[in-house]
Amino acid sequence: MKTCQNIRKNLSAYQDGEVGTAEKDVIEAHLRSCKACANQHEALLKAYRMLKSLPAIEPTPEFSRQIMDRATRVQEAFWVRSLGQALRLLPTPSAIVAAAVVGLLLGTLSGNFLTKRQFRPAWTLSAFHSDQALTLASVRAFDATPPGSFAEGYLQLAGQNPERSYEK
Amino acid sequence: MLDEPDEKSNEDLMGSVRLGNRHAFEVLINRHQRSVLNFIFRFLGNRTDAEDLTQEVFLRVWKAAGTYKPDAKFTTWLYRIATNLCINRQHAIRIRRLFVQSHIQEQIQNSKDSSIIGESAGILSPEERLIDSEQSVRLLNALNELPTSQRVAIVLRIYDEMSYQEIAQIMDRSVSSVDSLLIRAKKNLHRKLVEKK
Repeated sequence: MKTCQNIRKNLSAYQDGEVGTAEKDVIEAHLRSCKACANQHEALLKAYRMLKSLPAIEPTPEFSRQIMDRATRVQEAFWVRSLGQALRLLPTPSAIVAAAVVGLLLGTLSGNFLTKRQFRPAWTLSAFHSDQALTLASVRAFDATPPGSFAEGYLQLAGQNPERSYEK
Repeated sequence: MLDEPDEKSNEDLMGSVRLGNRHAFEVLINRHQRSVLNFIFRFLGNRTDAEDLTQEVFLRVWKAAGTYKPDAKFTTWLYRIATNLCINRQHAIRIRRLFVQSHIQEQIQNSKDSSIIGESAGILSPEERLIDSEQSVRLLNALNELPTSQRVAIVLRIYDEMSYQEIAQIMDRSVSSVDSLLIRAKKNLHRKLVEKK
């Protein structure tokens, strides 16, 4: 009885060719001698053959073309989506204009604040000094940090330009 | 002349698909569309759903080509995608059936005109009539009544003739578990197809 249980446990694998040669010989020998197990084997085979008789369906001739078309649409949608995501990362035009206006205002204010003590327009100087001041100013216009520039203001603030301007 | 896409292995073709080669993808479709379509048809028992889902399987292949590992067997990967989609679709179909059944019952109650049900049955193509034969319907119903894992295992074994090892990889189970699934599936099918005959 134990043998029958073991044989039946392996009947499916035997039918599917999934047992080794030794196991196969044992099962075949048993099936020849045991009517009950042989009946079980036949029953399983019958169900198997019936299922195998189920007809296959064929894809329509345009089936692969339909898949390719859908793949193309997927690819296009991917690029559109990626572009959309990239564009969404950019600020809106009004935000860009607002940022530019704020930047200009801040730049002007800070520039004025940093340089107002060092640079005076030529017309505020006395007539005696005006020529000298204009000459010095024009010469210093070729400096790496010309007087009145934002760069000069920065260096001054950072204490890297201890020597002060021509007006001292 | 192994450079011709038609002669390349599935795995080599997938390597080209990963780089966006559409022709390689088309070769893969032509090579596997019939087997995938039939696998899904036998699992779900409905041609329209099978066609729709087969297209979905190949679209997943196209979209997920970058995640394919060349050391994995392509058919294992392909059938794993198909199996997962089948299981998801099966849940959706069950919900749809519940809805349709309640809808039809509502229609019957509201109107005695049974032509609505006749229309929903549709007109069958010659191929569908063949599939619709009494025997085929019995077989499809018997398959459909099997628990999901038994159905996947038996369809892969009987129709796609896959080894237990391959089925185990697709289903993410051990070989011995596949073996016992197949024994139970065959016994169930025998009960449904032979004993009830």
